[in-house]
Amino acid sequence: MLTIGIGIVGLGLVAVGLAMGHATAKALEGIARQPEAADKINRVLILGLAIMESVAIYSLIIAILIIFILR
Amino acid sequence: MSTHASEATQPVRKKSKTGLIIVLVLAVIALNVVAGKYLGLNHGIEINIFPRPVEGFGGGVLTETNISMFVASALIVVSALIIRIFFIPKFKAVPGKVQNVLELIVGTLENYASSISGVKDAIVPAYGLTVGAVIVFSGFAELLGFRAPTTDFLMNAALALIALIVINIVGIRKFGFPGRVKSFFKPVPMVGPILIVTHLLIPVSLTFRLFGNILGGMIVLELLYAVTPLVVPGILNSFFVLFHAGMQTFVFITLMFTYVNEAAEEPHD
Repeated sequence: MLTIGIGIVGLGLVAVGLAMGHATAKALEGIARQPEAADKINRVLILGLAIMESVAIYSLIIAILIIFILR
Repeated sequence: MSTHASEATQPVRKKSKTGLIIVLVLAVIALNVVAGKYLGLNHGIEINIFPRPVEGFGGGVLTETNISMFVASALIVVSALIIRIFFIPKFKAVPGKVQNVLELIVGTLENYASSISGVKDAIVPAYGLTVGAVIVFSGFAELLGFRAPTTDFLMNAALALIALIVINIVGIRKFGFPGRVKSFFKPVPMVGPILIVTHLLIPVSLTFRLFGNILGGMIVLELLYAVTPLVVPGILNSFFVLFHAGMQTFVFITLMFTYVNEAAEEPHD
């Protein structure tokens, strides 16, 4: 049962991967269209990626807590 | 003639610098391999989320992350004292090598802080550099074979709570205490509770991000230590400490500057 729960938590990573890929693709489009704005786009992109990554980190923490505390 | 000479010396200097960096990286890896073999406190299949208490040293009150934080603090204090005593009195108008490096670090961080947060408050880059030093030096404590202090939940919570205090100090300095309180109720008073809860969630978010990242790295390394001979995890440990922790420091600092920007911007009417 716990194993299934951990697997479900892992599904959150799918959304995060899709979102990060989407954001990077859009940023690349923006840079290709306007190369002089690359610095600003980079900064915002890294910030957004960090915030998206925190969702992945939350599922990691939930999985770890399930494994080590609920078992 | 002089340009020719400088052109001639440039590649040689560059090559020696690359050699120095390679030697440094190899030394770190070798140190880590040796430390993992002889000093390792917790390398085994057993993984603990919360650090274990250490017997016989403070009566079981201290945990292993406390001990490694003492090591990291000692490293920070000693290197700060070395810089303060031996290098800062020798500062000149024309900077030497060490002064150049120090000024580069401080100047880059100040520019970065003011460009993202939009305020020129000295406390913001100062706390950024402090967080960077703590995270990087706890990485060095991990290289010595201890459990990294940043894998302790409370350590990250402390760093994030101080970040919250710094954010509010900047906001209060800019608008005064009444103005800071009023800025939570700015567009319409109804959003006040939501904004306050969002504000209180800042340290939670910062804590979980740092804790999850570093703990994930630690678990990967523990598994590697359990299944492989010593050299592979030694190399990967160096990677995790030097690159992964540095990346997390960068993210932590950037997010803190962004929150400072939110706290310091003019509220919308």
